Amino acid sequence: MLNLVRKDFIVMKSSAALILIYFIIFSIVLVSNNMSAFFLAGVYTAFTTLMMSTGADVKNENHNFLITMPINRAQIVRAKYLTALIYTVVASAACYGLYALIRTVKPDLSLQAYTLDQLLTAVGITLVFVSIYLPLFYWLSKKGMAVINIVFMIIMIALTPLSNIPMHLMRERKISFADTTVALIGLGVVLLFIASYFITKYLFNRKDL
Amino acid sequence: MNAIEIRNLSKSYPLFKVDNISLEVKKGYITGLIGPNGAGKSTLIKMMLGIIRPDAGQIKILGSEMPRQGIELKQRVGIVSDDCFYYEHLSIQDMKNVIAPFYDKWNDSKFSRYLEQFELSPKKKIRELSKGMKIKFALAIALSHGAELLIMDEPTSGLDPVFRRELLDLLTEVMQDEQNSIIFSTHITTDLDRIADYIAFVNRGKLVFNDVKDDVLERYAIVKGGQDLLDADIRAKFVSLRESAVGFEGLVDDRKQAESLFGSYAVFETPSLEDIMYYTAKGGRIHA
Amino acid sequence: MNIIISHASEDPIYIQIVNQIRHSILSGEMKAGDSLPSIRQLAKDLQVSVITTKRVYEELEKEKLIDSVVGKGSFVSGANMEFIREQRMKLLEEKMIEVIRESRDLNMSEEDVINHLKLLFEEEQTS
Repeated sequence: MLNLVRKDFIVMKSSAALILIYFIIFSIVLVSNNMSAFFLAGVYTAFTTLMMSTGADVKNENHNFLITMPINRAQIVRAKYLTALIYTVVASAACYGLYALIRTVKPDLSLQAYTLDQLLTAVGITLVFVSIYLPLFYWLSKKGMAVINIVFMIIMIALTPLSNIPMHLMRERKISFADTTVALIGLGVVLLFIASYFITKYLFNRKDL
Repeated sequence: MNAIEIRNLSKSYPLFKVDNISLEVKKGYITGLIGPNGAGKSTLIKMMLGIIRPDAGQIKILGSEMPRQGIELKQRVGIVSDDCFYYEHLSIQDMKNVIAPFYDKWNDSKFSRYLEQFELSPKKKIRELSKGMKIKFALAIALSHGAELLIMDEPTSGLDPVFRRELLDLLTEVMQDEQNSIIFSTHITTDLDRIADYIAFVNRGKLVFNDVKDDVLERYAIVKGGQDLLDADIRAKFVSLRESAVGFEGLVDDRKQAESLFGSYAVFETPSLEDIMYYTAKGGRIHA
Repeated sequence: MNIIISHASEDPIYIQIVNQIRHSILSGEMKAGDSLPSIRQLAKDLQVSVITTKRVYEELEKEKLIDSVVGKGSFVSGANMEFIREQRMKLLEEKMIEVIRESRDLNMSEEDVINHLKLLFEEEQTS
């Protein structure tokens, strides 16, 4: 299965520069718009990278080739979830790193504080997206995915103003991850992610390529 | 032992179905899978590989059941297909780096030798390769991980005649080891006329025969003669006939019977596999 | 030993091969104990089916022209020297009859032919 994760990285190698550019663009857009949560740059970058990665897998019906190797479909799905997790963590960490960099270089820039709470929220939102996206990807055909990609992009753009609500609440210290309710939501997200994996496994096993 | 064993395999599509096919691919030999386009050859192979799920039936490859025990046994199977769906933007080298770690018995020096022999540069991107070169690449991969079974789905349709001959040499070289087996599906039967040991003929989703090639070529015959030799009974003995103003030409599946029937009034010829495919497909008679 | 098969010929491939190997053995080109290529090697060299070459060797074994030893391969049999010699004598006789007929066409007498032969024998001795 790790070979499949390695495959994803080799395949995305040539897009690394593009991803970096996306990240920078997202960051610039979010920083200049003071009302938005900066951590969304991590979410957008992680998810865009995932969409590129899944896109690469179906662009040339690559699943037909993968399945001829000594692996089974469950491993393909498992590796994709692991890859998604890696993208999420790396993107969110990069986002934090950029935030810390900006703070040091330009402390006068009024940036929203990027706390651990926000980092966890970023990861949580991304995982929710992934949990809905991947079952659809492994179930639908190429044409279906084209539609889904557009839908998700619209949702993400709509997310920008919406994300201010929890951010505002967190800043006012009204809620935090120390709260039981929020912690339970976090647990729910993790469970959703795991359930999504099993659903995807089932759907992909039935599919004719 | 059989390299591949298929029992009662079926798959239905709206306009077509693979109908209850059972066949064996014997170990140590080359089996050719022939049939016109759309006969079901590719569907059959895709089911063997787990790309398509059958509606019914069992598949055993090298003694193990597919797809349950699929992972381990795919170590010993090499696949060459005319839709080789590699990642187009990667180079041959990168693609190899993706594939090689999956195989326990990967032999890198062997792979490099094949690349040289096939004149493929490791730096070339997959999307820059012609169809024939993609097949050569697939072949290099298939032959570099110690595979005992080669499954080839229309491997020669994009190849120039020069390489097609080289391919035959490569395959007979593989067969020097009697542990190896090859199944080779194609509609270009001239490749198989020479080196195939067994022939399985699929037409309209059904298996027409699966037999020793030499026996098939001795059993069938092309019969040519004058119009006056035909009547309703005699026409029925043909798989199918081509009648013209200057005579008839047809295929029979029992040469001895035809020879005793026509004697010296007709000309008899050994058919090629293409003749058998053509006349059977035309005839609409499906033999179980 | 050379084996040349014709795909255009009406003779089945395996018969062509059997004939050529048989001729090779009977003409003395291959001697008792000489090894034959393996079934698979022959199939590869001629680019024919392995089952065809198997059939060829089975046929030659039936005619007692070759012996197959499991694990070692196939060899020209030594057992039938008499038979082989007889066959060669037959071939030689045919050639002799041809010589006689040719000489008649050329209007040579029996004595002419024998004298010519003597000359050739001498030449063969010295060469």
